[in-house]
Amino acid sequence: MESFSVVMVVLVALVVFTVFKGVRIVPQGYKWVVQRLGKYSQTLEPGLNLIIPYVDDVSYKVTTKDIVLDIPSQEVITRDNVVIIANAVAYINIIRPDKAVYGIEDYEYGIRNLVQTSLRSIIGEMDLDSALSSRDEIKMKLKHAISEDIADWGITLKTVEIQDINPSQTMQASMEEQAAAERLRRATVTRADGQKQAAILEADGRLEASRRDAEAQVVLAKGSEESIRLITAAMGTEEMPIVYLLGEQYIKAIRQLAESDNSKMVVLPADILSTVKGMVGDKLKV
Amino acid sequence: MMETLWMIEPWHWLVLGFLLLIVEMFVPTFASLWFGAAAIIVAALTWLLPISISVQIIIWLLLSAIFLLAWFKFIKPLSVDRTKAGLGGSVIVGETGMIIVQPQADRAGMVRFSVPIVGAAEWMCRTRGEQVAVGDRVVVTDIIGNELIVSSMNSRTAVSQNTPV
Repeated sequence: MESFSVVMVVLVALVVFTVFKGVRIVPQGYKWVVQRLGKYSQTLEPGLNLIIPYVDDVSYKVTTKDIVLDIPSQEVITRDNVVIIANAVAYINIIRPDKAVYGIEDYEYGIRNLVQTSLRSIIGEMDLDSALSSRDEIKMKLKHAISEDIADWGITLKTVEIQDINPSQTMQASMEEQAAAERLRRATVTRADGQKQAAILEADGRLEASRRDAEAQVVLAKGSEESIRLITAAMGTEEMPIVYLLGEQYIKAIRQLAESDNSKMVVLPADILSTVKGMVGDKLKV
Repeated sequence: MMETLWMIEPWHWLVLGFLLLIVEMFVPTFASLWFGAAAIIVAALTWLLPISISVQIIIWLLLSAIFLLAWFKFIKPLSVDRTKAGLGGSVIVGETGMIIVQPQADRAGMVRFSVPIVGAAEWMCRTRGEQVAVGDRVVVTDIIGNELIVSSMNSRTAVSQNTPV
């Protein structure tokens, strides 16, 4: 009887332990990988699960939430031999927990390295300017470059974000210098342009003014011609108008001499006509 | 100790059952409940019928196991996923999308979903040898890395009609 009761107690303990070890509750957001005697047998989904305690063993508890992987910053050399410093952040998701735990020893380490090396090779094919400006293109290429590699691990790469792409210190300084020089060049050109424009306008002004002056002289000459014609018509002879005009000018000149401040010793020819005749030559028949 | 074992009365079972139900609230697994429920039923049985102590224990253990298995057989299928959050990328399997770039034998095509699933609305896709044209509705059967394996809706419905579910 005593042995029988001992057996009973042990049996109770056995059943209780078996049930306690066999009922497994997997929380949402995780999947558990179960091995049966060392070999993969099943993946437990979230919720209540039953496993056979003596042969089954939960060997990995894998998260199925997105994993944020920080890709450390690294120096990358562009196609035009410029060193830039780039870092990224990758978002991955485990689709097949069994592949993720059996396919690679440490998937986070693996993916981190893959992203680093791929980023290096992608930026290495680009010029500095395009690397700095085309982040989306880098992201697309990176996603495609890695996706084939991580397919075996049952992992999908949701996105890779390039966080910073910074030129190295010396490069940054020279880039700023270049920008400043460009600005300076533009300022100088603008100033020269202004000066050129001003000079052109000034010359244009002078040209216009002389043109107008010439026109004025022509008009004046025409006026003189007209007045001479009128005087000729009035005088009737050929010589008299000239004599008249010159006489008029002569008297004006004498008046001006008289008005001037310097010496008033003025010698006047008495015979204006002969004087004028002397000036204009013997064409005058007075 | 032996005497106490032989002196088990129905209310002992009842108290044990209640205690086990209380224990259930404190242990993380979902196991103690069955023993508690079985103990309460054994209490009822022993109160009604004269059963020897060993048979009582065996009935109790058997009932516990039966309850546990019955739960998994009948109740667990009723539990539905109230959210797909946190279930990982595998939720994309079974979704339907539309082909926007035809997959060729040597290169992947492109499938578009009406809403973004697992971080993207457009996915690279391949087929398992069947021909799909641009504009076809396809269903996702598998996901490999960043590419989906799709099959057209028509062939899939044909397959599901032939195979007993």
